[in-house]
Amino acid sequence: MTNKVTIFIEDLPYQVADDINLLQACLSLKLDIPYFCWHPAMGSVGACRQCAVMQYQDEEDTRGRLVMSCMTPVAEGMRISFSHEKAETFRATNIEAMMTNHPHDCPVCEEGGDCHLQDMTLLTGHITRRYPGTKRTHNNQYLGPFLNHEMNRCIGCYRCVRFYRDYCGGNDLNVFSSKNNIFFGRAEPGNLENEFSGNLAEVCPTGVFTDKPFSQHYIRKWDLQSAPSICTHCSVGCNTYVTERGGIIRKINNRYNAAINGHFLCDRGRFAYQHVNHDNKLTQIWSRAQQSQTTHIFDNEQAHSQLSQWLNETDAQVLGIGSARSSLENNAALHKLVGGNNFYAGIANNELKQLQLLTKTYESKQVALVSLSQIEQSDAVLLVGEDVTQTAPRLALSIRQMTKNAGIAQAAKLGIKPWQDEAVRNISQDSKSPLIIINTDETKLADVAKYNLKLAPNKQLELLIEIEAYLTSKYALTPSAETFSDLAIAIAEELLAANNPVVVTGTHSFDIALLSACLRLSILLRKHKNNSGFYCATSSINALGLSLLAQPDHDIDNLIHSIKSTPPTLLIIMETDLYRYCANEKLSKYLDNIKHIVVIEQIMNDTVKMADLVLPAASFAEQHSSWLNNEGRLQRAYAVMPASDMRQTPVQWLAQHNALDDGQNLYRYMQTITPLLQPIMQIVTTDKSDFPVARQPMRSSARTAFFANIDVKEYAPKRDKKSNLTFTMEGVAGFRQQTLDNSQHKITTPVTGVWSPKWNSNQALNKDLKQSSFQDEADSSLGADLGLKIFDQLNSQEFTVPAAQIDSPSQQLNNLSICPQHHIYSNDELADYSSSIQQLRPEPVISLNQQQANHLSLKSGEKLTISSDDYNISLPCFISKTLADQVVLVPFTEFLRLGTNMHIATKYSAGNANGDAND
Amino acid sequence: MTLANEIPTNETVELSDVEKAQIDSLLLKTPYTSGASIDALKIIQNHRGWVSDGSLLALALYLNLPLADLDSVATFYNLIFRQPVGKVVLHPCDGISCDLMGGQKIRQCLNKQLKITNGQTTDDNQFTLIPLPCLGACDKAPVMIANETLFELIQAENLPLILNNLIKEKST
Amino acid sequence: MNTEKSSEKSTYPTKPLTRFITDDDNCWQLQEYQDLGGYDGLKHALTLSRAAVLDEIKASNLRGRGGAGFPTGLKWSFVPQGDDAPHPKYLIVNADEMEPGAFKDRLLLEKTPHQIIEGLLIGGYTLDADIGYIFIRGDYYSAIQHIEIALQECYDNKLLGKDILGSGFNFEIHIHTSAGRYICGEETALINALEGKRAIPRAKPPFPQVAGLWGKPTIVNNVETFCNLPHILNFGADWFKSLGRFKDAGTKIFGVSGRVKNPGLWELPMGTPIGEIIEHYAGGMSDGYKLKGYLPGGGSTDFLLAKHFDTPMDYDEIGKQRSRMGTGTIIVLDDKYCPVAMVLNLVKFFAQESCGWCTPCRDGLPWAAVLLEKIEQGKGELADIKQLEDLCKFAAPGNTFCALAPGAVEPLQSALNYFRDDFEQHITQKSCPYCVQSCEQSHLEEDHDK
Ligand SMILES: Cc1cc2nc3c(=O)[nH]c(=O)nc-3n(C[C@H](O)[C@H](O)[C@H](O)COP(=O)(O)O)c2cc1C
Ligand code: SF4
Ligand code: FES
Repeated sequence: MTNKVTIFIEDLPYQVADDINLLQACLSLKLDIPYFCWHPAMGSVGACRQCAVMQYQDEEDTRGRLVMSCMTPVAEGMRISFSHEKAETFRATNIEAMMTNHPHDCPVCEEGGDCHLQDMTLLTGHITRRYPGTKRTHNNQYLGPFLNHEMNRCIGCYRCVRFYRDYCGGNDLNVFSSKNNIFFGRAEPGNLENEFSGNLAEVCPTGVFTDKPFSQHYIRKWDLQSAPSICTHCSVGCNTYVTERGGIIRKINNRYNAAINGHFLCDRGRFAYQHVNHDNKLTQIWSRAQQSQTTHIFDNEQAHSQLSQWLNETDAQVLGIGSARSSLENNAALHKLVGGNNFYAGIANNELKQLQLLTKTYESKQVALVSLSQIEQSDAVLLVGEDVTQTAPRLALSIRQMTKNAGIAQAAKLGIKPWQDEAVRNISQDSKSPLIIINTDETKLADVAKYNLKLAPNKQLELLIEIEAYLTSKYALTPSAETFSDLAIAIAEELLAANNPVVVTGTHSFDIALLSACLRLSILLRKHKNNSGFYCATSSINALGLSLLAQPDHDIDNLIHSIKSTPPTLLIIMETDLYRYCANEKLSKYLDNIKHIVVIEQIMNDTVKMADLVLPAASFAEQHSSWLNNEGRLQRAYAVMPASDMRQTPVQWLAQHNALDDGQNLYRYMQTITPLLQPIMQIVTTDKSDFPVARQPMRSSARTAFFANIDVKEYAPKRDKKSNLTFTMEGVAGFRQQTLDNSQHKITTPVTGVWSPKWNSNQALNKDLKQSSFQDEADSSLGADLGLKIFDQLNSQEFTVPAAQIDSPSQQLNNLSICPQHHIYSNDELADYSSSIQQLRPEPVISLNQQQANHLSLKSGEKLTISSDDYNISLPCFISKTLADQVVLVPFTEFLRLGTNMHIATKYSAGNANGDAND
Repeated sequence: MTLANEIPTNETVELSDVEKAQIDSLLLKTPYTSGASIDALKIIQNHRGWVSDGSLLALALYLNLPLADLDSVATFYNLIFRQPVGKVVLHPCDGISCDLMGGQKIRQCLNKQLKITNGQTTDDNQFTLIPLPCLGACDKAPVMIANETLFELIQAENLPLILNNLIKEKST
Repeated sequence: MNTEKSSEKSTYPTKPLTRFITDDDNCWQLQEYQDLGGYDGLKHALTLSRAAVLDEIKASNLRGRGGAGFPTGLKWSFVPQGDDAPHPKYLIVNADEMEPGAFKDRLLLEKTPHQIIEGLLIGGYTLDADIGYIFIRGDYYSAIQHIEIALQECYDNKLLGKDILGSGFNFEIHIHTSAGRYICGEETALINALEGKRAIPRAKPPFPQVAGLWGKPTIVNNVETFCNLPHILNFGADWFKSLGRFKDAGTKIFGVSGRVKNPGLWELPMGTPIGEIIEHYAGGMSDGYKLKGYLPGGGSTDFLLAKHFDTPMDYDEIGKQRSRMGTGTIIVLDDKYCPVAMVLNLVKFFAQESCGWCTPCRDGLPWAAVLLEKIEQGKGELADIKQLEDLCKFAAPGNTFCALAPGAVEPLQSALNYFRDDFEQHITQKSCPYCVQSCEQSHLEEDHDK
């Protein structure tokens, strides 16, 4: 816990936290100290020299000396001056020196208006150029679909390489050459390989690295409308600002959340938004006349009367499919319309089972659900059966930070603070907090892992059960008669030695036995170590939320089963592409037997093509919505632009038909479905506060000219009745609102962007952050913005996690497991519609190791066929050097379609050590 | 003369057994592979005259270090050549002590005789001219290093002879 | 070279550092070194406790000869000792010598490799260290060759490796030849270079004594510093202190370069007056040249003038004259060489050698070089002088990440002080008053960037 110390700035006393550096302290006091190389997540290295202040020994000292505030720990009684002439001159000369090579290209630079360098230059008052020389020039590189490169603008703050290499573990970006010729880039042009590269656009203080998709529909920052949102592209639930102009989403910025994403997003989260702008997005209501086999465009009224007619048919039998990528509101609305018995979750049976096992365990409070920031602060992680870089990328980044804690502790022994970044790295060298990875294949966290075990799922399970048994015997203090493998003992001892070990897993293995084993292990640890935690990545942003609404076994597999035997008269499919779960022809046959199919969807897909009535659904950017992430954290997202009459939120489409037309009723209904959703009211801002918040910045220009090509009249701005955000620049803007207490519950006014006087770039956040040497979420001044953890709010329920059976569901045939392969750029249905992400999507292959390939007498690139009851896939095989034995990896989407009954169609001779007969 | 953008790319280079053996012996002395990177680069350069993109990649693969890391180091140091050099690399001293004693004139004569400016290689690939700062023989200024030999108290008149001998030495 | 032969320990040498340097070409070899009493210091040290050796070194008042003059014994006392101290501990000989005008370490490296190894071994024993490195400038070919042979001789004669001279003390020495960059001489940058990284200086704290090479306790000392150790052990701290003529202890290798009659190196007592070195040992100015000024300790020290001739070459005394002892190698500026050109040469060098980490050095020095070049070409304005002064203050000690840039502006700031007329003359006369031709030459030379 941090204490306060008193420091004197210009002879006036101030209270600041004692574990931070002087720069952080001054920023927290709202002092405008310029800086470049420091970053709250990456600490200090003292390279840019921009943050200089005068420090005095005592009251008598009048000479003082210049110190770099980022490198100076605060201390009781410390005396400094920010405005001393010597310091001011130094800072001004420093920026003048930086600018000797910086082009004067602000008018054509995309950073302009959102530029830390511009802000700092103005702060220091450097106006006229004295330098008489020429500027050095560099060649730029192609860096892939996400970033532009304009090296001439570099001011050499080293933030990019420190972020990319030291923070993210990337190794294909570096600094080259030396002196004032330093070059930041790749050894050769090419795609940046790290999954967090997009953050460089925010990390770079000027326009060296800029957001490439943004360039394609570029708008100055001051003309961007912006709203706080939640990333909908994995289950982590990172906080974002989504920005818009003219109905086009322009870019996604990070929105600081101390508990989750902190300062950084993954590239899927940052660039997937392009689906909202995609040509294939649905903007019109389509109706298909069964008999005439013709399609018509409906208007809103026709659509509603059609739907109403079908709902009210005398023999109406209605089933609904909810969606894991749609909001709680939308799912609840559908749930109300069709009734809980008829509401099916748009996920596979296997996954729903896993999710409901998780919920039950979470309700029992036997595991402590930790946040990403708690994982970052933990001292050991056991990561089982989930390649988190591919399935929940931001989680991987947090786990990577966790491994640094041993080094930080080592440095602390020498009196070095965690923010003294370079010193910490020099001291720690390769000492790392233990990360133990048990997975089928090598993951991108391998470079920081202490144990990197590549095992088939059943072997993974055996090991976990063994670890659990060893721990049980250890804790029971009765030496067990059992013997344990060295490996199990070693891993168990790592967990025993840690103060707050975290078990991390996910549902993407589709292996419920493995999940049970992880839960049991975590429960055991928790019993003996109160600080131990658990984290489970789930498939989609709202998967856990959806599972709360769905009754057991109300999933896609069972739905298909049900429509096969008794087709309903009306099937309402909301934001779920059934063809992702079920093989083509089979599904089409079943759907053909259904009288009316209504599909509520954002974008064209195969399921939409089967609909009798298509209701275009608003995207995340057009709706106020609530999302439950994988830790049971309930978060609120706001629309950045209004939905249209033709493209509404599912809530709006269904409101006329389910008697939940006003928002309050919907939320009250949610509360009746499950007590777990009781807290929902707390995060929903339906109150009108006295302070409407503007989505447009105060500096917004050209509002009246925006439609000038159509009509010179100014259009009345759209009204937003459901939140106190305005679609105009009227209203308070830019700064974070205090949490208002209206005696019933706390309301946090959403903030639409970061801004601080004189700070127009995203670094304005650092004036607003409660500076601390670690991310302390409980103590965050941004309190309610963290969201609400629903499982914390309830009394615990009894539940026992069933012991895992070793031979349960994993796809075992002849000791061979067929497992899903995940990829950050190919798992996500909507992200597939982002052109920049498409460019990085890998070719689908079936992976196996050399030994398996030998058994199957397969050569690299030859096709392998895998079949299930009535679906086959045939893909080239990739012979992996890292894959566990007895495992075959199949692209996730194909894995889903193959279902539970898959097998290798090519003849396979198991365990034939002498090679295959037909070799 | 050779320009930067003429660096041959996409070549595949294999490290020789001698190079590998020398690099292996470096690895014995360092607790982390990265500790060998500078010495390893020098080994490559000793054998090949310079470090091409291809040999850099071959080294990165051999040491199992990221290419960018190795290049970051290679481009930092003055004496790792990432561009081709001639048979003989001339390092006349441009430190202050030599300049006080007429070092500038010596360098100018070299420019004239070889018809290249500093950093360039002659058309016949015989000489590359890379002045270095203070060579640590200030009492014998002006000086020059070439073929691992230090030439002291150089006089402009002697340069043709020196150059001739250098090439002869390299050719045998 | 003034040398002295002394094969007997009883004769107390007055020029210990060069006492092993003889006219014959083999003086760097083990046989001859031992014949003259080499490794006696080590042998003596091995009979003492570690603490006793450290006490002797502390008592000798030996100050580091690399430039900063930090007391060696004090520096060593920060290294963690005892059973729970981290291992391996490292000891590094800084033989990078790239300072303009410095050429003293080359002599020791070429002629007395065993003296350096002996010093290193004494240090290794004292600090209970495990591994030594000799970080040597890559262009010092013959020195490198001699050291490599000397090391092999030591391994062959139980002077290195396990159980040295039967004492139970183990020590390894590796040699690293630098890939060339002046910043490698800065001790923490040197450590980064040894780790195979870019030679960027490190932030302090932690000091290398506590966490240096590979995060382990590390001592870096200059070649000459190490060379003093065998003699201190051999002849005692009191003898060592008695060598100095003023306050500082011991002898030092001083050098003079530039237009003097007899440029060279001499081992002389600390505290020898500057004038005596230039006039007596270097023989005064060459015929036809007058002394204009000089840098007393290499290219990164402030100019002094003839009026400072009485100043003893003692760390604090030169400090009082607002310059530095530096490497103790004097660069003499004569009256026919343009002071602006001289400063330009130096500033260009430092700008070229900046590691690129901190702004004042990376962007400030090239800026100063551009201004100096402008003035030197006769295209300067009076306001440029003010800008140069601003830049000197800008790169002052404490403002930059390491001591490179502050050192770089020392000749500049003192030249602006002592030779201001020359700068102004360039500007008013719109050409170089010294030699129009020599200035134009400098423009022909392009930066030799790779
Ligand atoms: C830019 C720079 C270059 C340096 N170069 C050298 C050098 O070449 N040799 C050296 O011994 N010390 C050099 N030093 C000083 C070293 O940092 C360090 O102080 C010295 O090696 C310590 O040894 P000593 O205490 O024996 O003097 C340099 C310092 C700086 C800032
Ligand atoms: S590229 Fe950007 S982030 Fe990197 S050093 Fe240059 S200015 Fe800083
Ligand atoms: S490298 Fe040290 S001041 Fe620049």
